[in-house]
Amino acid sequence: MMLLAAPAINIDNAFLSGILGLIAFTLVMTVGVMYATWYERKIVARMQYRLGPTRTGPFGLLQPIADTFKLLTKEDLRPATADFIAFEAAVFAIFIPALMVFVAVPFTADWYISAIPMSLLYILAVSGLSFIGFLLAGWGSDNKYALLGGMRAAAQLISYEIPMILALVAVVMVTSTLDVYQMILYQDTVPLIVWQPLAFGIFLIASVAEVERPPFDIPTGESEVAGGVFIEYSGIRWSMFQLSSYVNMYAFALLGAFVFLGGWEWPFGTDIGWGYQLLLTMVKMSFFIFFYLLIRATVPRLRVDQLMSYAWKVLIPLSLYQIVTNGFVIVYDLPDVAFLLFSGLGVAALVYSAAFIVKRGEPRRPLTMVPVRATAKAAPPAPAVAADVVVEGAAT
Amino acid sequence: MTLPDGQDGSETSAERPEVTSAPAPENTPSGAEGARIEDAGTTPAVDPEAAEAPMTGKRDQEKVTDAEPKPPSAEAPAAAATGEGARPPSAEGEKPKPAAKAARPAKEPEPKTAPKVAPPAGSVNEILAAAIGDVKIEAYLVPDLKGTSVAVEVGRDDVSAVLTACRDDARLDLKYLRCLSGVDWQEEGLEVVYHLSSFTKPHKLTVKTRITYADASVPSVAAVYPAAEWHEREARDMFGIDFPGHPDLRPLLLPEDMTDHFPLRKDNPLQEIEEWQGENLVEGAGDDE
Amino acid sequence: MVTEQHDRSLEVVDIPINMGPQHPSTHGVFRMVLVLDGEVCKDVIPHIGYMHRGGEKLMEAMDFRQGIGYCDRTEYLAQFSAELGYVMAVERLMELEIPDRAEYIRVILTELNRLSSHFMFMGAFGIDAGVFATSFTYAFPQREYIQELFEEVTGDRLMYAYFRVGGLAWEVTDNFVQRVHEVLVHTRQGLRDLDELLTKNEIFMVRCQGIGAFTADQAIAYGLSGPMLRASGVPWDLRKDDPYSVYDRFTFEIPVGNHGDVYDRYLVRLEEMRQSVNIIEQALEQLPAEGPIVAEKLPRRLRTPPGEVYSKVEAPRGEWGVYLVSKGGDKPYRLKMRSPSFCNLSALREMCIGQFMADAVMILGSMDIVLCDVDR
Repeated sequence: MMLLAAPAINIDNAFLSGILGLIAFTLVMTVGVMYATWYERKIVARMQYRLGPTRTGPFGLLQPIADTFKLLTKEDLRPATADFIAFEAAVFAIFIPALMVFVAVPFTADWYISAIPMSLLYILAVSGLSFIGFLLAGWGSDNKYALLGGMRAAAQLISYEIPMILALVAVVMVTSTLDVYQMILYQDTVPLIVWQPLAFGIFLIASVAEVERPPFDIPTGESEVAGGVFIEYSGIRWSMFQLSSYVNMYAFALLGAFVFLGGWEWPFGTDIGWGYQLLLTMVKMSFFIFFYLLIRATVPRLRVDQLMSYAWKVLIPLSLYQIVTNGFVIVYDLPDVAFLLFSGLGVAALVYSAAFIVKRGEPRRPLTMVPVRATAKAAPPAPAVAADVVVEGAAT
Repeated sequence: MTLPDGQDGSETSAERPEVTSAPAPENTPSGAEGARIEDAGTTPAVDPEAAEAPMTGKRDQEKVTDAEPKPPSAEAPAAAATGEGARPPSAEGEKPKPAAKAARPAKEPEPKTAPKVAPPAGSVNEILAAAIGDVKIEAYLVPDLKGTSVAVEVGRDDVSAVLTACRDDARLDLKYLRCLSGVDWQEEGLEVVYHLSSFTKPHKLTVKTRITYADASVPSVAAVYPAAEWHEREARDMFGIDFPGHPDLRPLLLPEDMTDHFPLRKDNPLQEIEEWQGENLVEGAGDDE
Repeated sequence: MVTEQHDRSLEVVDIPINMGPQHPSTHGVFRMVLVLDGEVCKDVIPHIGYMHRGGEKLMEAMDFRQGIGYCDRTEYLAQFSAELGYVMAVERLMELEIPDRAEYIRVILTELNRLSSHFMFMGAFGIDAGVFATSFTYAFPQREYIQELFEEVTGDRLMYAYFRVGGLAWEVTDNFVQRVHEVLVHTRQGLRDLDELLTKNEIFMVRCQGIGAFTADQAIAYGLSGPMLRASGVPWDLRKDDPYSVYDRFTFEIPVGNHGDVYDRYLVRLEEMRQSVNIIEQALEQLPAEGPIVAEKLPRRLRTPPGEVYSKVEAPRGEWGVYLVSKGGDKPYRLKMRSPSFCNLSALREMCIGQFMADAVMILGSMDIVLCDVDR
């Protein structure tokens, strides 16, 4: 972990220190992802009347390691008709941007790989690259399910990029900076979730779609496209896809924790040392992670057109609303409470929107219950005697 | 529809009453075996009676030879002729069944067909007769789960008209096609059975039609009852009944190239196959040990 | 679809995509070819028959007692309903009177079987909708309690062969009534869980509502039955309209949908489970404490007089019919199984055309087919 604090080990070459930090971070992240799967399996299992992994080590803690060995030793298959270059390149086109995000992420006030002045822009730009990998994998696999999955992934990632970026633009307007570090400093007393709840809500929803987790796991929907782009991948390549999916999840969780929850800042003073700072960051990040896991176990999957209409008809207008009201507050120099006021109104609309997309068309009528009366008496000792025939609501 | 070779269940089943009405057959294994093998080529029809005692399913030699007054398949009737020839000699009558019935009671104590009881007055068949006019129908009672219900036999060419009337006539209102079954009556040809029921009226109706092997085709009712679509495809698979007018009569349950073999016809010797398998399985088990 | 000019403009082609027989959501070895225009189904070609074992032919070679086992293997999620339809056909031809106690036990077991079958539906349907197995794990423990009860009574977990022509194979366990009550406690818990998990879930609603809707006329024309038919607004339930066994001695309600879509089918099944619990409770009250479980005058060797009968029961998936033709003797001359899954599935194409690919999965899931039952 200490390698992360590249300045601390005094490597003059910024490039070299960045590379070293990235390598170290990749290793740490891999282990982190392994245990994220363990955590997820445990959490979801508890929600499902199950125990999750129990056999491998205490509480099944060695399960991720066993899984890793299984995945590494599985045969690595490539369909004979697959496009070699696209098929092989797709893995890296997804995996590398997922890790590159962390170059610009400040874990604590001192720990970061590289201090990029416009780090938010960098993070968004890099994370937006992954759809290329999905398209490559979908096209290169020479499989119709993969093709469908790739198209779905591209459409979904691009669609949800927009509300997410717009929501972050609203935050940028408030903080007047594109540097995540500066944004965290801005939240030294009050985290931005208080002033920008609508942007937070939009970011939360859009980030679930960006990491393709339920209910937005349409590109990989098991019951429809049977794994989508991953359908032809196996072994190490498949696990790299999974790895990048979880790394993405961490990335967006961290981003949310920094931009909306204040990262290592909290209202009770900032001089708390790097250990507590890291702890604060992790706790805030796990809020997002837990949210992702929670909804995975409980909600069904949206349909692809519903997904699109939710992004374009609900999230984007609301994020534009957030931007406009922010501009209004800033231009007229209203107190910060005005941010909360306008944004809160938007949150109400966001909450209602979920119900809004459901309640289209004619109103539902409940089931009609047709009563059936017993027409014969149960008379165990005596032979059955037909009682008066009373049939209400008989078949019409 | 062409008939597979050896389809002449007619001979055996015409005589089979004798076989089954006899007491439990006494087997002379070697002789019966030879007769059976010879028999299997020509009359492979599944004998519903033959496995009453599963271990002694083989037929008596005398019985088998009795049951084969005609020479074996060397001069089995040609495909086209079989359908007509399959009819018993009483085929000149309108319906073969009454004749067969009349002949039987003398020979066997247990009848092979249920007696046909005319439905009481006011039954659904009278409404049907009124609804379709001059179509000839023969109505009788069949058992229902509780009580009885009415079955009508109609000519093959009238099926569409009768079923359309059943569906559309307000007095009948038989809008629901429960089931469509093929039945192989061997010497009496094939039969298609339609079970209809009504959601508004208390009656239900069974419509039957008889066809010959040679001309095994019934006009499709998939246009009248869409429910019949898959049932007809299934009947086509299993019995080789053609349903002209069906939108898509590809094999449904069977492999797509299996269009010349009809498993549910009685000329498929399931029982012989099973016995053969059983014997070989036993032998195989012995070898292993 | 090559254009005649061979111009270099982009062609828009439909993708035929082959779903099954090893697709996760085809509920067995069912295969359908979806012709997709983007995500929308332009045509659906179902292919069945992978499980065809010639059951009807096999049963012609089995005597009436042996055929019972085959019913289990055909409708392997509603075994008791299948057995009941079959033995009732034989009993009708033999004109047997079934003792009351046997009838009540049959009803109790059949309704419990309906519960276990619908639990299976709930679990699998949730997965079709994309709930990550939570519906499955909510439904299956409760189903397991029912299975355990069946195992205690019949000695088998799936292939019960417990209903016999003329009654039951043997007497139920001594604590049967108490055990059923225990099972019902778990069943109610499972119903509450599933109801809370799915019914009001907004994504579930938006996925289910308006999908695969069939009007009452369409449903009748396509021969749908069971919950599929009732969801379309036809209040038709054989337990009410053509009561068999002792169903005319219970007071219950038939849920009938008003929209005919996937959501109504789900609701109808959920409500049916509640009604089944209701029926079982009444049956337990009325169950004679003792008495014969096999018909008097049951011959050692089952032989029917010649004749035919169409027997039908309201199985969990719809009307399970057995058309039994006998020429006398101890075997069916012809036995046609009118399986509800088969008839319901025949409407799949009509329901799916114009819907999204994801909806086709939901529609198929809402049919709750059993592939053994479809193919027989």
